[in-house]
Amino acid sequence: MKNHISILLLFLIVINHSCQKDIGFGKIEFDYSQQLFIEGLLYPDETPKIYLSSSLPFFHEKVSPQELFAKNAIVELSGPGYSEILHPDSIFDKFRCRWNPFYSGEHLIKYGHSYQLRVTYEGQTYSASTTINQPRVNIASVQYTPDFYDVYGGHDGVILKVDDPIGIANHYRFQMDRIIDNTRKHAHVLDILTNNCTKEDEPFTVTDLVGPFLVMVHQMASVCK
Amino acid sequence: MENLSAYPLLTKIPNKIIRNQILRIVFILIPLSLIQAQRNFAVSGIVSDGSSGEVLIGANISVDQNTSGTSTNNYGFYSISVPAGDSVILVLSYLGFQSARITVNLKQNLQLNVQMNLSSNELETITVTADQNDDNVNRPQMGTIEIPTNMIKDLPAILGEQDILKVIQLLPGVQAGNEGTTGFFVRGGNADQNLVQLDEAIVYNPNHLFGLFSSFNTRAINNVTLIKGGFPAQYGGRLSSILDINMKEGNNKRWEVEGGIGMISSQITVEGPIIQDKVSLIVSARRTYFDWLIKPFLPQSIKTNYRFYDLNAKINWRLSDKDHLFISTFRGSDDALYSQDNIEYNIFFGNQTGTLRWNHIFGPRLFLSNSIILNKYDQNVAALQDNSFSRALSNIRDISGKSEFHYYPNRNHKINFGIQYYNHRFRSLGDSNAQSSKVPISEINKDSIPEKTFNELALFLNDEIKFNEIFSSSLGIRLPAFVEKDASYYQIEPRMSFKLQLSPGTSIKTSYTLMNQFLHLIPSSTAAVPTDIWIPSSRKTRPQQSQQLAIGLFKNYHNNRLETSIEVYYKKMENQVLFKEGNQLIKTLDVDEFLTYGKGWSYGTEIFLKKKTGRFTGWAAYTLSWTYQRFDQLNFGKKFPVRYDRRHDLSLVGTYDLSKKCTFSGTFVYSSGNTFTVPGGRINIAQGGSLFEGNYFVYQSRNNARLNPFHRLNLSVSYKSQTSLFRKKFSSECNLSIYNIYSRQNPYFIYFRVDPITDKPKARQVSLLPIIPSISYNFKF
Repeated sequence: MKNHISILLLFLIVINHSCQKDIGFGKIEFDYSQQLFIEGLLYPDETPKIYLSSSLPFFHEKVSPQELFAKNAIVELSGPGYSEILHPDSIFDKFRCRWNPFYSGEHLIKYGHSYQLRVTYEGQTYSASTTINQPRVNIASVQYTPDFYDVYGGHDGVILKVDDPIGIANHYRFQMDRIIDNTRKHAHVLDILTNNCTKEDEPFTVTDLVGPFLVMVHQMASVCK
Repeated sequence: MENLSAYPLLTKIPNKIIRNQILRIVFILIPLSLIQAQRNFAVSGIVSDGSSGEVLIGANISVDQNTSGTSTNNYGFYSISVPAGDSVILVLSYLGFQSARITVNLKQNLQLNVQMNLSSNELETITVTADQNDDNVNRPQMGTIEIPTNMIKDLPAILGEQDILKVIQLLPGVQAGNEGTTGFFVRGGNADQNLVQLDEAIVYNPNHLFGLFSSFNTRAINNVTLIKGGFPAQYGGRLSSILDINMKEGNNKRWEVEGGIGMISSQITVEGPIIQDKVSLIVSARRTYFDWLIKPFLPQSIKTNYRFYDLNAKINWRLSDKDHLFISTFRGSDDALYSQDNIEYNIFFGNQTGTLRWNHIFGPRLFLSNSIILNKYDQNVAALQDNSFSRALSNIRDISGKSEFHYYPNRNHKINFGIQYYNHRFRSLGDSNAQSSKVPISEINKDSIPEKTFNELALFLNDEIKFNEIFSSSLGIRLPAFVEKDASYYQIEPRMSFKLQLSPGTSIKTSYTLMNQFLHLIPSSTAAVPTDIWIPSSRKTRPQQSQQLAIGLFKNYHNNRLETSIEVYYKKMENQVLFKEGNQLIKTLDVDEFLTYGKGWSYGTEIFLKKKTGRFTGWAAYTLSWTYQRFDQLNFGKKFPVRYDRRHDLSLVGTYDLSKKCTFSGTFVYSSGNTFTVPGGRINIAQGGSLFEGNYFVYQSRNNARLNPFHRLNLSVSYKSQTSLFRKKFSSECNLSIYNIYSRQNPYFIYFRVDPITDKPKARQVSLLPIIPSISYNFKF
């Protein structure tokens, strides 16, 4: 019991009065085996984008998306009557001044269709399948709030009210694209980042994601864009 | 209903003949020894300090030069058998006091109360008594350390506050908690496995000011004993240690005032006779002025009012030569408010205890102590930060009673037996939710929180038997029971210690103890919010249980001026409790579904060298130990070291009397770093994927790294003087202490982050306490 009281109060002292320094872990070797991390969302009427990156030992020197990108992977996406090998592609992140690589395809994703993903990388094969059958809900209203409180604390946000189908277990994903000019900073951890990759007055977007999230009341929820 | 049996212990002894021999020894030799009692008379009484009347606990009483005598119990009572008709010399000794030699010629039992005197030259006195005191070698009990309270005041102090728990941390087998705090861990046990009791009342949180100071005012303490193994049967309820603290009884000769002025707090103790030699009183109080001192230095945006106090009081009433009544109470609390911008903390925690004890001497061989004890612990910690609110509330109330008989049938037996009862009432609440920082923290009605009550009952019997000059033992059994509405546990706890005397100054001891604990402190799995709470055992959360085996070699040198020991122990702990992964806060006492259960084990070697006489006194303590836990649902079922699994712990403590007025002292500690968890890997998520962009940590195993080693040197110098004030002797002492003299940046904790610009991961070490000089002034008149 004493421990948490100590922690709580010492936290204040530590923050204000402690001495801090970066330390290295060069001598410590952790038995960590690199793993492939695959993520991707298929949106109806959009071409597929699949992100492949390698996880690394925590203190590994490789840090950027380009360095961590799983090159030489064979990424195959199959749909009704077709199959295509996705090819490496990238998009420039103006906010962070770097390229974000991924694998992309040519065929548009269709609502109601089933898809199989097959990734072969360094002798291992990974597969997944899905059916694009989640109904798009109707957005009843959109409202901006400067003070929203949830388990992450308080922040601004957008409250969407949607018509939630009764009797169906749904998963919602909320994505909010902020249009930011170079006088503004990111709302989260990048707030100290100076943007050098946009021209003056050129706006750019960053994306916030939350999901899954609480459905506040029946038939009220936030929903994807 | 649960049953554990002691019989498996005996049945595991492979040889049936040996097993039967053990039983034969127990059942034949004990009655034989009792018969011997008929040929002896008993000398019994109370041993006390002649200048104050304070009882002397652990004073040695022997017949002639026979060192295998007896010692006074926690109430100063002794009883020793001597042959009828012989003229014998009783030798009484106690560290720091002149030895007393009393010739007795017994034709009947004799009640002999002895008042021992402090020497005018303390150094000479210590030399005299040292020749007699080899209790550490002679008694069968092991794993027990008496803390020299008179030495504490000369040791270096942080912020001018000497502290008993800081001294405990310097003993072998004891590992200190976070730097600067009073937390301690004994032989691999968790902090909740230490029973800290003041005049037999449990003190659940013996801390002030983030744990920088303990709640115990050293000037109100008479005696401190730490038991970490070989527990006698009269002690129970915790797995790892008993810290038994006895308050002074108050000077029954004359009124005295003693005080101390420190950097952030001051204290005063008043004691004296209400009725000379009959009723005495001691009142000791301490309060911080930290809140007043810090106020001018704080910016206006910060409001804080941290304050703590403690108050000890005891009335000691000698009703007759055979009856003694004590009433003691302790109150102490910390109360703090901190607010700054969107941060608000409300912190309150405090202990209250009350002990009513009646001691009765039935005769020269039988002593009874009866106690009724009330203790309360309240904690209410609430935090509101960044619109996130959390609260941990704990409310404990115990009513307990204890009757303990001390029976001395002859010089070869010392039997303790009795009964102990607790009625516990617990209320706990943990909560966390979103709340605007603009809304102040609200009070909570404690009565609205469901309470849980349960009862503990224990019967105990312990016999310290001296079979001959070579072999002696302490055999005991404790029968604790836990009774609650939905679950009951009835346990059997065998306790045994054996001593083999190799030579007058050398012995080998071994002990086996089984302990049960019906309370669990559930530690938080996060460091940012207050979530530790006490819970009782339940149908699913079974009692914690430990078995400890230890063996040690004890040897004294130079007429017992130098004590040495080496102890090896192995302890295993069952039914250890932690949160499952991902669970932290709990709203009620019904937390079983969030918990996971495992076991722990610890083993190690402890080396202790203690020089207790002469100009230079002190000790060196070294512990080599390993402590692990294993939970099926944590760390992929693999064992992991506990946070305080330190391979090496070294403490050097020294005090040098340069003259009668000037004393130097120092402490040096070195320990391996605490373990902590380092993420094994990381996954970088770039913008555009399905998750938040950023770095995700991959944790592979618990406590897979160690902080840097910890070491620190503290030094102090004390200057004593004596003058006369209003025709009374006025003693004063000025103490200058320097904490962490070479300002070592010891690791407090390490946190990890990924640089948002470069994406490079970093580990940052946070160090807390640099060099801290402090001065204090103490006086007595």
